Amino acid sequence: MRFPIIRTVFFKELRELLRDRRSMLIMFGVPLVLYPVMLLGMGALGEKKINQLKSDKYTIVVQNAADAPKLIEIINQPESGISIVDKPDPEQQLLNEKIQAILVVPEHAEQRARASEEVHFKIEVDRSRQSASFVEGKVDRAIHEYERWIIEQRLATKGVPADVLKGIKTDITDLATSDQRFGHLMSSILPLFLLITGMLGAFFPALSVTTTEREHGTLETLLVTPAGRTELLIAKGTLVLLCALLTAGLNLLSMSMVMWRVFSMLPDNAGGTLTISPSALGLAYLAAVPTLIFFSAIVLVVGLLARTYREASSMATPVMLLPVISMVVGLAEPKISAAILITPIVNTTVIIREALTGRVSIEAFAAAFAASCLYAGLLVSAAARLFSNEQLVNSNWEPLSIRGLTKLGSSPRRRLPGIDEAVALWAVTILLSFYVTPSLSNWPLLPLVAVVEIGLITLPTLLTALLAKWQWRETFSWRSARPRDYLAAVLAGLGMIPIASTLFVLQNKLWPASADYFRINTEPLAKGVIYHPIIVTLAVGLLAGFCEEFLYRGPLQRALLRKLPVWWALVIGATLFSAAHLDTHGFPLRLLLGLALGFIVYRTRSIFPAMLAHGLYDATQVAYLAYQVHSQGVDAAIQHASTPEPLGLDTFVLIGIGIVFLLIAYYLLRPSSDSSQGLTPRSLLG
Amino acid sequence: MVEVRGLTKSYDEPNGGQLVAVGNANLSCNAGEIYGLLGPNGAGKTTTLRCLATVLKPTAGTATVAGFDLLQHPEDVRRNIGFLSGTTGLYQRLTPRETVRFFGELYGLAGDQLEARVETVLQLFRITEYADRANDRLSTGMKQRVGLARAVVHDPPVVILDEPTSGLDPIVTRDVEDAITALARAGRCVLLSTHSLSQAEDLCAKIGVIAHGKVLAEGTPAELCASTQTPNLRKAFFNLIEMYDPLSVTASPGLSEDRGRA
Repeated sequence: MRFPIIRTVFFKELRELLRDRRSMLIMFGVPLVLYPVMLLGMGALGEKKINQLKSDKYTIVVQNAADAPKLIEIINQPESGISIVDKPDPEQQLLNEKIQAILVVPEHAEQRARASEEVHFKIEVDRSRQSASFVEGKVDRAIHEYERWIIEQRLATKGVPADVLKGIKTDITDLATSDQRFGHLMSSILPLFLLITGMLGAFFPALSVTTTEREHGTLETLLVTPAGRTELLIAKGTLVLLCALLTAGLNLLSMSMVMWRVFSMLPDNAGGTLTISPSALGLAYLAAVPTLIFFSAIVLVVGLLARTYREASSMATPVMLLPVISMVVGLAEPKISAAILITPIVNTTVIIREALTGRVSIEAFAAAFAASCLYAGLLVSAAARLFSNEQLVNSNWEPLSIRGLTKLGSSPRRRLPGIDEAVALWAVTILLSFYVTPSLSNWPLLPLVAVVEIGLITLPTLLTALLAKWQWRETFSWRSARPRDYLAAVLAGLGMIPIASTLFVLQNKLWPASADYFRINTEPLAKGVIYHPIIVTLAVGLLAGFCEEFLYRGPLQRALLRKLPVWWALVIGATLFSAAHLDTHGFPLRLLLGLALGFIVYRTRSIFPAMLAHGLYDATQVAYLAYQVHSQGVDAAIQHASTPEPLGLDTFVLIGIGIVFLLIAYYLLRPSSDSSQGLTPRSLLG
Repeated sequence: MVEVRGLTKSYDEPNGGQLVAVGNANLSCNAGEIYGLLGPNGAGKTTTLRCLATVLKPTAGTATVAGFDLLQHPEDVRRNIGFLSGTTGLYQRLTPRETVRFFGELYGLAGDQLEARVETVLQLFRITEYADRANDRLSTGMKQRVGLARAVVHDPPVVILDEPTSGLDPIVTRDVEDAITALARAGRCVLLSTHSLSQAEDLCAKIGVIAHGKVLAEGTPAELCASTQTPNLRKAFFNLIEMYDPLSVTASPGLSEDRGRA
């Protein structure tokens, strides 16, 4: 990576951008001129109009006024804002806006009302006129005052003091701070503006550095210079991202200040003064950064896929609708959940809302930020793949057309998975798990496990392998192993159990889990093994062993091993495996389990021993639980799981046996002296 | 300077077959020589030149450019070539001076050396007068000169030009041809593709006739005439094309008429 080349290309792109009036207008003109002028102008006009409508004196006709003299007296008071006129054909006068309302007083209204009869006044207005609601309110207030006077008269007639009319008053205290109140007002609109303006800011520069270059033939001249494609993409991508960040940032500042001014100008500004919290705005902006990277990468991808500027513009139309997701989320105001936090765009919208209202937790922010970074990374990787494609200079290359897709799909060459593809597959399985599993929570254990393991893990993996044309044997390590490898797998699967249990006890002493944690994790299994304990045990072992290994020690580990040093690949693979179980407390143990299983596949070059070890490990745990459920009952088994046994002599004996098993397994897994096994690390890198 | 051995570039077809854009091409070009790739549209000229410029990766075979292997040292190859594609390939919002300077920087020139080289090529291609005018306000001929200046700003030993006079009027064409001759006289190895038989005959020391992705014959114009037993390059060219694929020539009334005249 050569910084001088990146800098040279970046400044060339920047120079071109600064001479592009359209981009400048979107980046600076819209937030610095258009919003303030438009919104402040609208706000000032609105305020003026409302004040005028409120202060205006409205003209009404009162029919049969003589039957409600007190009401006429009230209306004639100067503070009522109404003046009574007498005009023929009042309805026509109303439609012609000569008067604003007609008040129809029933026959002997006042006399009947004072005699405790119910009387009906009728107000006629023309609601197609802006003044209707104001005159309606004013007449209503006058009638309300008249009603109170009538009731006082009735009470006086019956000798009851007017004090009985004193009611209950309610004082509402808003505990939200002024910046929280403003944050709430902003949270409905700001995420959409932040994302949509960021995307718009990135759009024209992205097309300028990709499609326009292809169209004008400048890309080819750039590609024949010593500048590497990665360096070119970094320079171009940095400019696009900078534009997105700058546009979004300027819009954020402009929009918040203008909105604050507009809301402050309104007579009823949500119950008090409003203030902007710079830290909340800063946090909201920070939360949006990974999603802005995501959007920048999307528009770069669009720019690289399109052959002409016109084609890019038409492709971009549906892409531009992506930020609208944030508007929908803003309207729905969903509660924060793990699924929300890892869903692209939605998570950013929710976190911005939480940041603006000062309620964001560091865990939620970190989870959403990390998930958004992952998606942004995947999109950037897709852009890099496209930019590396040699067909980029071919004006006939049309990967997005039906013909282009047919060509892509028809390539007979099979290949190994890339890290980005494998991580994208992993993200899809996680999202599926988050969204589908809760709806299956009432299912019996076996169908639930089957659907999760087969439907949410194995099928997406198989489908991706077919579509991406992965080399089956190498990607999935789908080859037979030596008999001693299977023996090692059995010993490893069994040997890990006492060691894992002991480590969990120790972990629980340092980092105690709640009682709920054990109940939530144990109860479904405990209830599942009440009937058919053997079938459930075998099924869980088989499904978890086969399906989870199929993904994690299959394409994921293969992709990581191709690009990273062995131990880095194994650790990252185990981390993803553990993270996918969505169990913070069980994370360290599953990390170790994932490492052990990854090592078995690495050493044996076959996935089957790892499937066996994984299956045995899970099946033994389920079998032990089934034994406890049948000997002590469900509640006692759950209780037993939540109260770890103290470390005694038998524990140490079991740990000793476990260590011996693992040592023997390690010995058995040593590379064969037979060169045909080819167990050197180099041979495994694909 | 340029040695191409068995260069093949093919693409996968939807039906599982292979489209061979260039098949087993061999050619060589020395310093101070102008080599012309002559062929009809879709013959594989641009693909060959793109492979030599490392924009495309050959499916088989290889080549050495300025002593560097295409596959082993693509960056060194790029550092030693100047490439002008079929389009002028200029940034519309930059001026010629900025364009030439930008490419000079990409080739590692800096400071006084860069400025001196920029001035040299601007004068060499007679661009100085409009060097600070935006590229999108230049005529096609002016743009082509800027394209050439950009391609040779780093003074490369090998210059690859893809149809450099396509779409130019005769006067600008003559200017560009003079510039190409000057480059060869200065010891550069110039590889150019062209449709123009007369241009190839006038400029090129060596010509490769290419059709359907195959180099049908290679040699000096005289050698091509001798090998095809024809009196001039025009007849030699049609003879070669006809021998390889008779339909491509006889099926075209225009071409048959042309052959009759020649």
